[in-house]
Amino acid sequence: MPTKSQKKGKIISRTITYLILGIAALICLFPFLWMISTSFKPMSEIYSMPPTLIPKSPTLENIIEGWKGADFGLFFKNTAFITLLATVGTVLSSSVVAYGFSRFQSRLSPFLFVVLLGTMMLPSQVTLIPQYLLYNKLHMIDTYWPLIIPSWLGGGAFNIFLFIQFFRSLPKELDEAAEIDGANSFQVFYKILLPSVKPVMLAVLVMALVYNWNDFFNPLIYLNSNDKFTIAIGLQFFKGSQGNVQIGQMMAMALVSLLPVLVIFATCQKYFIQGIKMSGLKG
Amino acid sequence: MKLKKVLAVGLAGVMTIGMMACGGGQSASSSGATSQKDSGEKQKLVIWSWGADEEKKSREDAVAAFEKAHPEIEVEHSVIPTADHVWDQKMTAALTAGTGPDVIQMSPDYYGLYTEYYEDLNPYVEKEGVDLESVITEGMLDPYYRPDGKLEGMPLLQNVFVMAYNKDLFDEKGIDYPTADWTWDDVAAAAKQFAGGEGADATYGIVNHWIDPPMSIICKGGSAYSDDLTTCEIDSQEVRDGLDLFGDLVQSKAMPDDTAAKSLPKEQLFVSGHAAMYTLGGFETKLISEEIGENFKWDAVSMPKVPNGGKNNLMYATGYSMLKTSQNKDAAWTFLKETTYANEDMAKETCRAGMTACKNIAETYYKDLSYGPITNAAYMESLSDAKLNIWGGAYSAPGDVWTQIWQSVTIDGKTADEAINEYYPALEKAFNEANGK
Repeated sequence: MPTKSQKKGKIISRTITYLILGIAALICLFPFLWMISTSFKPMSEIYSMPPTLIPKSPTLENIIEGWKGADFGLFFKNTAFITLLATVGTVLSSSVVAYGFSRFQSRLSPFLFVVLLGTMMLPSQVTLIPQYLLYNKLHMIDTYWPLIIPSWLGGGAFNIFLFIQFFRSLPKELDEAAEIDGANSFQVFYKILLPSVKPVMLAVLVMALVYNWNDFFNPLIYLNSNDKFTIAIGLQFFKGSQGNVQIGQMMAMALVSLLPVLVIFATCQKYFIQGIKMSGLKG
Repeated sequence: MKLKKVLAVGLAGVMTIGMMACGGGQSASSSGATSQKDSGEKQKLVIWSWGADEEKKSREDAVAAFEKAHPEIEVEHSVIPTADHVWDQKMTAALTAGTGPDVIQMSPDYYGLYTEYYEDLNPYVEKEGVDLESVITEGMLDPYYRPDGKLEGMPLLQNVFVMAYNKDLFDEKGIDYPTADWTWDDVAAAAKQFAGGEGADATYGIVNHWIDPPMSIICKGGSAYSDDLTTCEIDSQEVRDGLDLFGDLVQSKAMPDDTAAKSLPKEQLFVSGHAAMYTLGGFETKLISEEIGENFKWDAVSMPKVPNGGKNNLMYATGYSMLKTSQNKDAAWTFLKETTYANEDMAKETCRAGMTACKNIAETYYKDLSYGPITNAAYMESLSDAKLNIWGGAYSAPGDVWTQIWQSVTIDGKTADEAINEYYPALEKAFNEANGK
């Protein structure tokens, strides 16, 4: 039975904890709130002094002009298309590769695993030029292939690692029982193991989705035609070459472009955290 | 079981869409230069421009005017953002891999950085039999010639600066308006009288601008390097004086310090009536004028004079080059000459973003355009006094060192002597390396 002073201490301790967390959350959220606020402010109000968070004369002009100004409808369509294919590819291929690493052993397995981990440590800048030259040889510059193919060929070392950690936590007896029942390796994978790794699948799905939706550099390098550009590139059209920025329109379009990702993240957050936690990667 | 079937069908659908759509447009919009089709078919011309907002629209409308004039050429025009080195990354990858377009936007202030990829345009000019000096706005062509005589591009437009001032603030303080005879010392003396207030109520004499660091080099008659680009001349008393002038402006709060300058886009201090003077570029006149509206009375004069009568303005120029890899060089040249001097409709569209290279349009149509109290004639008058952007392209490394010197003075409060003594060896080394020494 806790004493009165212990109870009081607990309340104080919790209050301080929540206060600190609340302040930290506010600090993290402030840029987001500012983005929302700026999206609905007229130009004259954006830079008014002292700055205000709640628009005095809210307007939709930034959203309307921003949408029309840089062909955002098309950018949305392109981004959604790339994101869909790349995300599906990432989830499928990384789970298959991870299944191989976790369930099949050969003399080369340890070496291949080290190579896999090694790719996580390789900065993307190092592989950029060889990859670009490769896709150029394959006549794939200014197509969506370079943005999608890598997702279907492994889907990234980190995602594979997540799946491996999860597969390894599943008892091999599950596989053996299925094999006794006549299942082949592929059936073991998609009938027995895959249904058990839904949390990781969702975690990888959300991460791949956010990455592909926000990816700026790869579309910039590989796409040339304006009608193939993505949202991340489109947002740059609000920043002029001489330093002038259409900040209202830029924030409005950034907000609109964030909405789909936010909705998905909010919906899948539970599974996302669960997937990370169960893979043993959460601190 | 049903779920698996749906999943399988869904996946098959996704892959099919992918197969169909990923390569879509490859033949119609391939990367890089494309070969000319057999006679009877349209020639294809791939053009890359940079720009955003009004600049982007100006480029697109100019190209549309070109397409209208040349239905025999099929143009594929891409406008790529340029802020945050976006353009640089894209262009470098494409040029290196040989996947660039037929025609690419460039700037003479690259100082030869990408010239190996550009076609020498002299033979095209000779074949055309045109006297470029007679059709191109005065002073715009020279920067496109490399020291070896190669003509690496054709000018599109350029922009210089004027000194805009808030008449109401000058009237309030009882200070005479700036004149064309003012020097930077006059500007500094006047600017200090406007310094006052704190935080949101602070007022300043002059607003920071991204041209300030290079402007500090020339404002007292100094220069960064010799005209033949071989000798670094930063370590001079004139440059030290110019740097100290700007350091003094910041220290005396006549110009916002780094924190204040970062709290708000710089031009907004002028637009909102918190600063008396602003170095106004030709590219931003329309925007600034619209933002000021009727809020206060304002005007502009030419940039302050420098002591030895030297160049007192900075120019930011851009044009187009033909890539050596282009396989449609005739069409590319047609575009280059029209965008520079031979298509007045294109030139008029270009005027929305700056002073066109087309002499006839610059001296008539562009000159008469006005935004608020500012007429473009003010920029025309400043053209002959302008120096090409100092630290572009090949000189970006010494430019980075100059930025350190600039920050040492304007942020850390060092004197020009201290900063230059500390960093000059590194700057000179970077300059010599840029020149291949």
